[in-house]
Amino acid sequence: MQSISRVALGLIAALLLGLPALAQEGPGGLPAGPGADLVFAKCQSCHSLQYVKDSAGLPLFLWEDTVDEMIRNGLELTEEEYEIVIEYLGTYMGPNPPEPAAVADAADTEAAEGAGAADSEAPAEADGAAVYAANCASCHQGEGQGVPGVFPPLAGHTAQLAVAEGGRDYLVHVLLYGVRGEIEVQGTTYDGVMPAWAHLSDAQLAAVLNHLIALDGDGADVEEFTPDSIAEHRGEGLSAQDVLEARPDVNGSN
Amino acid sequence: MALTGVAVAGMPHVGRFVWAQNAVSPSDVIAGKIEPMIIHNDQTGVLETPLELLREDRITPKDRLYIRNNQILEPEGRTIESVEDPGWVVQIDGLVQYTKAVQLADLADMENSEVEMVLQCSGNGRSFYAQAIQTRGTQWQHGGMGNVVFGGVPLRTLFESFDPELGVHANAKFLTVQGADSPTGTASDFEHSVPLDYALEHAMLATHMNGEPIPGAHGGPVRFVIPGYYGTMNVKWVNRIRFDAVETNNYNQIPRYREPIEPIEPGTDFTFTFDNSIPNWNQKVKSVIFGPLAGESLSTGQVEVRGVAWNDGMTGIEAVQVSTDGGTSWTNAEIETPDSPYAWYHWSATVSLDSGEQTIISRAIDKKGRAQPLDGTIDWNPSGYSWNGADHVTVEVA
Repeated sequence: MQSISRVALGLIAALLLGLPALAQEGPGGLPAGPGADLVFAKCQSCHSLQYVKDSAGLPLFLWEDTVDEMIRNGLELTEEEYEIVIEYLGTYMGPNPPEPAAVADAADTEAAEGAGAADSEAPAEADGAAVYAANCASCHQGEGQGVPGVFPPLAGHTAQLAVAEGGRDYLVHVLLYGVRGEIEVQGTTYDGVMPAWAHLSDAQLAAVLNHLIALDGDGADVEEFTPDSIAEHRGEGLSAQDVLEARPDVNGSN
Repeated sequence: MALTGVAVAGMPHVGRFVWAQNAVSPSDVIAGKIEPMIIHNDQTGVLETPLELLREDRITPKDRLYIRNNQILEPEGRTIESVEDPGWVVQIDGLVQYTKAVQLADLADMENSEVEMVLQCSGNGRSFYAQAIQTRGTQWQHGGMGNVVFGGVPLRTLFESFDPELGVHANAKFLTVQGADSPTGTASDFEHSVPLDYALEHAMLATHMNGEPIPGAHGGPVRFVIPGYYGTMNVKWVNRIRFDAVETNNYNQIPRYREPIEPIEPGTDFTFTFDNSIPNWNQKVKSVIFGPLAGESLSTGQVEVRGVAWNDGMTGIEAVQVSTDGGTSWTNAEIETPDSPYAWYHWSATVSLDSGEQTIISRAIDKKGRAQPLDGTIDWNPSGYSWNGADHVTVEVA
């Protein structure tokens, strides 16, 4: 039995290290496929993606049971999202996942969706509110109010950061590389993990930042983020810890 | 799809992001936990103790005891430091004539006792079910357990201290214990039901673990401790105990944390009812090999095999047997009987190994004749609970 777990570990390692045999990767190292983005966005509200990857091989009905359990645990999905998530998990994380070549074909034919899917056909004009609802709201809540002590509020705080010295770079870094560790926001301490959202397009990331700044009435004076202002920070190879270290100190100003 | 965002100059593959996110230490997940604990979930805090670490201590220290939390907790729930909260209240109600509210400070004044016991996640060993069909949940190996000493006030002592007395209704058959951790959104609170009679005989409201106040991450300041039962029934941060006529229908009691009574074919869908399934109550008889460990290289000849065994404490461990020929013949191990019926029994046996890849098997049998199945997948269940297959360790002998 130990040899089997070694095989499983090998597969996980292969996923993490991006070995050629498993080159078709979606966000966060999930197998590429329609719905991978949604799984990335929703599942990390409560647990790391490692959990999902460790469960690769579950039959469809057990994935349904699992997602149902997560809903009882607080996961919020629309009926449409539920179908997409189950279809993805049952197919790409099931006992017989398709070969990478087949996945590439499926990705080519997948329709671009402004809110969730982040493929090359993502529209240049992204809807920030839709991007937020699909990717961010499950942790940071519908109006960006956050959950005290668990997920920091974004309403107000985003605009506050955007006008702080180094704040614009920090905001883009958080989205592209994630952030991890202890921060203080509006007097409350948070010690969690924000995953990287680099799989979303420049237009989507700019739109969601502008949406968040607009949530705060005082945000009107903040210069808009453009897709270019996101693109220029790609490829910097920062870790989530690096991002934390460059976080502006904005607590004194609130 | 989705590769476009990261397939840019200077970023060879998305895996690098993933690695950066996962390359955290156990102490980043639960402050004070040490390397090389295995991180299963870095958000709620699910950490496993690798056997090379677990086998070092008879009483598992708090810095390496496994942890399985269900919710993302505030910092005091994510540390091995104790929680100072003398005003913590445990509400006692349900089918009683008089409800009660007990303060943590009151417990210190009552007669306390201690119990050494195996604390084991009901999912411990889940990864081994994948030999048949993958099951859902944390893919624990053997390290979702430890042997610890809890101290506190026995439930009976507490209940008998009340004046006027509780006045328990004759229909009360279960205690339903609720923890203070609550999920976000509309999900229901965490609670479990246990049989009242068993709880009155064996359970306690624990305030101490290994002689210190219980760490925040392990349920401090007050944890419901019920020796012999799986870890999940030992509800952390307990703030309410309810006398009930039937088990709660909270989803942590059904369908979660249950398994079918009758064996089912691996991979079979199963609809849980109170009648066709049992909760993760009594721990099944089990042995785990602590040495040699899987993958070790050994020399031919005599080899000492050692490990631990335990059950639900209802009766003693009768024998631990070791086989090196796939279960055809067995050698009886020497067993050290602990003072507490709920603690690890340490055992060792000397076997002879030929060269090549060899598999050592251990199985425990208790005085009721309950034994570990040679093939643990016989008890396959959809959520992979209560693995107790005979342990198999494969080593290289030269």
